[in-house]
Amino acid sequence: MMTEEDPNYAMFNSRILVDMVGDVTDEAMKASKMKQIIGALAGRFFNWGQRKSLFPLHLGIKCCALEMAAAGASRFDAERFGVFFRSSPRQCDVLLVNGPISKKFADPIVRLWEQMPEPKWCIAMGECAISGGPYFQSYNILEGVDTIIPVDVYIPGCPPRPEALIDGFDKLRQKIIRIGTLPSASRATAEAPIIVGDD
Amino acid sequence: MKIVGMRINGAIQREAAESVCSALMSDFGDEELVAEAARHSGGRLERHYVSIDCPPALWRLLAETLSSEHGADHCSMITGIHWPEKSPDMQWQVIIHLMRTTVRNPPSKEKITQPIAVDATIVQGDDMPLEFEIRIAIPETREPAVASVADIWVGADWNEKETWDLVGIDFEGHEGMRRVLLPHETPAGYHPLQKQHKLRYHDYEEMYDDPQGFQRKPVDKGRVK
Repeated sequence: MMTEEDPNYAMFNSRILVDMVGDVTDEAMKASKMKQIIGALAGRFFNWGQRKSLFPLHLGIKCCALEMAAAGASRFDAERFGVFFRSSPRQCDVLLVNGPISKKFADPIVRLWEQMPEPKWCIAMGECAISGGPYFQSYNILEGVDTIIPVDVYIPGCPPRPEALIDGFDKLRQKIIRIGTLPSASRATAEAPIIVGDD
Repeated sequence: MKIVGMRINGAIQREAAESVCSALMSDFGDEELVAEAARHSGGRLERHYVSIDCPPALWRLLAETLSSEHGADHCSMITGIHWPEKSPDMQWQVIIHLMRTTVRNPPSKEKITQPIAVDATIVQGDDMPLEFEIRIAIPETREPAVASVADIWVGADWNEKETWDLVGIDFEGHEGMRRVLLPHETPAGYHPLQKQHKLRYHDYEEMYDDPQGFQRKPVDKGRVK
């Protein structure tokens, strides 16, 4: 820890050094407009990279998880779209909620959501994640995952076909083109959520 | 002898079920226990099981008898039902399913259990796999309770916890009774599968009369449905 009392004798650890260098570089780049230039040039490239390689979390809750597995298997093959399931939330950018969220599971799923780094998006798959589904207003199931997590795309169905899930990822890609990479906290007011099958 | 696809002789299974029933009736017949051999309806194979109606005070003794003498080694299900319309005779009911798998001391080679292949068409008597269904009727009471059998069969442990959690039937002697499906902090009096708890659902009239209120979420603020 850097001792504030004696600025002449400072004990650095690498974390403080990295933070300081990062801040200094950031200020310099903003001052010289380099940040804007890099943003303009590379922003579209980064956006392309993010939307073409959506890594969902390998989380299966209930029956919709089998349709998610079918979408990843050979007939429907999600991997040709860049969709590759990862087991750790730290490495994911999409949380695909596929099943009813019980009151016991509300805490862990919010923890998973918060462990995912920005930019991140959430897809609610199946009726149980949209509104509670067949367990609507029953004693242990939340009425939709959007009561606790901001959802970007809803995929109706019980369960939705694998083609619908792939279309949901496609709608998410179109949304990423439109909104860029807004932090998810401000996204709830930014735009109405997309429902697959709405057109 | 083909390993896969052998079928048990239905008539011999019926005989095994009936012999278990007669043994139970001779032991407990004078204490209001009724045991009969019944056949599962439906399906094209004959499957017979032992169907027992047991008074709540006799359950522990019956469970020990079934486990030790009749070889019931797998408790597959314990569940409970709340019958408010059948009080005072049977306001609560506990249903237990046991199985006799007849797998005893399988041989093991270098700590790996070896499979046993048995010709299923010729098993009889005590070697015949059998199912037991026990129904316990608890008369009208505010605190239904029945003896716990979690120390006899491991499969009874979580089933009893679930029955208490959802229906409210207590199991005396069960160590560590807690909530398993509902969140752990749910207060003790709330047992949602009792019949006085209704599903709150919107009638379809509400949906048409008040679309602005039906299933509204925070994201719908300012939106006209």
